[in-house]
Amino acid sequence: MTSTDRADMSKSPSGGGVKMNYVCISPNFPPNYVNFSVRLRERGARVLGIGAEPYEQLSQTLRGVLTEYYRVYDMENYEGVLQACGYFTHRYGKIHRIESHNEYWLAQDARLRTDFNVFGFKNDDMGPIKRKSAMKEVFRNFGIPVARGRIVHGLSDAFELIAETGYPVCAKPDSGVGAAQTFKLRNEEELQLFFDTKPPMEYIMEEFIEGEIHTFDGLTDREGNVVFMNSFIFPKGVMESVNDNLDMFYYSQKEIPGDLIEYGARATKAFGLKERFFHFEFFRTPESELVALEINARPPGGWSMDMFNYAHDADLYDQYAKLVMDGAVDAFSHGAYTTAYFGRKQREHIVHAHGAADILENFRGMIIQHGPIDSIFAPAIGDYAFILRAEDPEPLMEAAAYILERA
Amino acid sequence: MNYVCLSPNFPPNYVNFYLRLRERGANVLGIDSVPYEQLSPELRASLTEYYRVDDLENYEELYRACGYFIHKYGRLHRVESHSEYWLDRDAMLRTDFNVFGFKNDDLLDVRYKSRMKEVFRSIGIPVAKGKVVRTPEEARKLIGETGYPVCVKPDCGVGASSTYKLHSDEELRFFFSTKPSGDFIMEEFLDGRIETFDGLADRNGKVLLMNTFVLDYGIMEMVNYELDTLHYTLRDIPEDLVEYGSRIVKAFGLKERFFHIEFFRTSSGLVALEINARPPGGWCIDMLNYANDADVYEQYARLLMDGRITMLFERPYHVFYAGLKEREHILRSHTRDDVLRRYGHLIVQHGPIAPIFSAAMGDYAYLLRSPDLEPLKEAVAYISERV
Repeated sequence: MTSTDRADMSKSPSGGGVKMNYVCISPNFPPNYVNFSVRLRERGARVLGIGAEPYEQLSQTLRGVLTEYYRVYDMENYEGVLQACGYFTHRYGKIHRIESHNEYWLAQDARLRTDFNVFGFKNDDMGPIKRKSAMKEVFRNFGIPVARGRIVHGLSDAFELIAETGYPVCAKPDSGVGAAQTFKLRNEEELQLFFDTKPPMEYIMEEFIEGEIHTFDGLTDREGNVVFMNSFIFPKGVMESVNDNLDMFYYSQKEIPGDLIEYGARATKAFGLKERFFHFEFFRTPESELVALEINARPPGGWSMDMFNYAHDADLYDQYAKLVMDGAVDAFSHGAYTTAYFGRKQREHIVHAHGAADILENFRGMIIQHGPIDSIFAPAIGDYAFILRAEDPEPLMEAAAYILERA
Repeated sequence: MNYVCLSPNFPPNYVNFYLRLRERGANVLGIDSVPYEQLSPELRASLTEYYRVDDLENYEELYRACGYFIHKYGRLHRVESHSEYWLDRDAMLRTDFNVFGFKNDDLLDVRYKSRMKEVFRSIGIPVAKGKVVRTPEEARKLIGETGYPVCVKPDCGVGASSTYKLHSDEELRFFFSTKPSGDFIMEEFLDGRIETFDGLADRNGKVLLMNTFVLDYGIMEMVNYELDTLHYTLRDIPEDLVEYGSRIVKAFGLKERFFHIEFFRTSSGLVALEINARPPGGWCIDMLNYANDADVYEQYARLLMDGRITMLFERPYHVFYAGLKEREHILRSHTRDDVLRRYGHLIVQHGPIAPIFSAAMGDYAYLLRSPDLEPLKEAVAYISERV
């Protein structure tokens, strides 16, 4: 068998009697991603899990679909995870996919793919995904507008930038996840405080853009074509949700504006996303201009995968499995519904005007899912969440006023 | 250091690589189809673990064997068999397990003589006129420029197998009507002796050890005309050879590797013939040892483990290799006993050659060494004299 044959095999792994070996990193987390394993198994993949959770503590469903689970003692210990993949290689042959769908493991996924020569993002592809400064460069090179800004080294460097942009500015780790350790700085005093207390890592500083966040999310096929797309609107930024303890509220757009599709499709090409979920964030400024904020080479987090399903009357877990196994997805109706997510913070000092029981009673016809959120996600997306769906956005906006109202 | 080697029991002298690596603390992990009990005691002592496969040609088995080693020992640091035959597999495994060294894509330039020639040309090293010819018309067009004789060899081939010298249109026709499948490269035939530039490059591509063998005629003639294999090392390596050789090592990106580059010494200077990204075969590493009073196997192990070697190779001796063809119709003037009695003081090693190498290396070989070349030439003339 030549190396070319191997590559071809990974392109059509279900062909020629070769079984798809799909390694799921941390398959039990987040809980809704168990559906990926379920659908992959249903479509004939051999699903191999690696995680630190004891096998007995995995859900019945997950245990039922994993061909084998390799328990490591510490997922942060790369050598152990590498050895687990060695075991799978020895037992099942070529590994065809290694995937966590999780921001936290993206770099490790890429490292494992590099070390086992597996299809998908390798170490060298990760620069523009992990580092916001490199990301900005790619956006610029492909003619996608970005906020003015760059990495700043020290106070005087920051002053130089602010001379151009003015206050407020936004400071975030060049290589960071979500809105952690991200700050909005309004004046020199706050700037000084930031530099006095900032964590020891590179920070990128940008002009503060007013506007809602509009996302362009979806899935690309093996050639990089967008085969599924979705857009969410976040009326308040995630940063404000974390830093100001706001509730999380976002909803899907039934029709995705042309400029968003244009920029979004261009960005998927620019970043070389193949057979991957993606989640791009743009600002929609008051002048209705789009400004690219960042790219994530994974599905949007929390319950967003499930919102995809409700909004498009589809099973995106299954469509992903089909894409991996057959290279194509089914036709399905984009934008059948509008869905909205309400994640309420439940802290002692936060009192909502209406209790969960009232909400369930009032919006019975629209609530499609509700439940508690894992504590690890709660600072960003709330402690208890509701997904509502309707054909039109108006009833959802009325519901928002009611659900988010504080006493 | 997890060091994987394919077919560690062959050639037999390479067990020294594995012994030295093990001595210096490496995990030496061998893969082969030979039953463990049949490995030599030295080899068994040098291997940390041996994974027996049913068929070494079945890549899937090699691949899974490496999976086993990764599971048990962690990341693989080297996959190296030092053999032309396993160069591709070594590179495939390195590619599939992200191991330091030549990967699939790096190998193309040293596997295809046509690509090799391109690299030589691009760095200003003279090469024989020639190219891949697919039809008699293409061949005749080239011969229009070069004239007869021409040399044809597989574009991707090892040693002198399927290599021919063609003298006429008739031979050319015969070649095309009988040639094996696959691309062949055709070149002008160059007159001249072969001089090699061999050695070992460190992790940054710097040449640490160099050597030159002189062959008065090519391997092709040895194979095709049943000649004895005679070659010797030089104590002073010509400057042009060092200059071209070093440039070539850089251009091909050879790192922490042995290499073996062949040139013709023609009346108008050096012409590059080919590069091999491995040590010269047969007993050549032992010749380097005798020429330098060194243990090259050990120095290689040091290079791997510590990133550097611990001695200078100053070539205080010439070493001469005389590999005799032993065939019924070849009659020798002097017996082996005569040879040993008369030249025992010069002979440092002698013994039979594995049949697989004997077409190129002879059936029975002597290594002789001396600070001076003349006594060696005289002895070899005696040894190889035919009735």
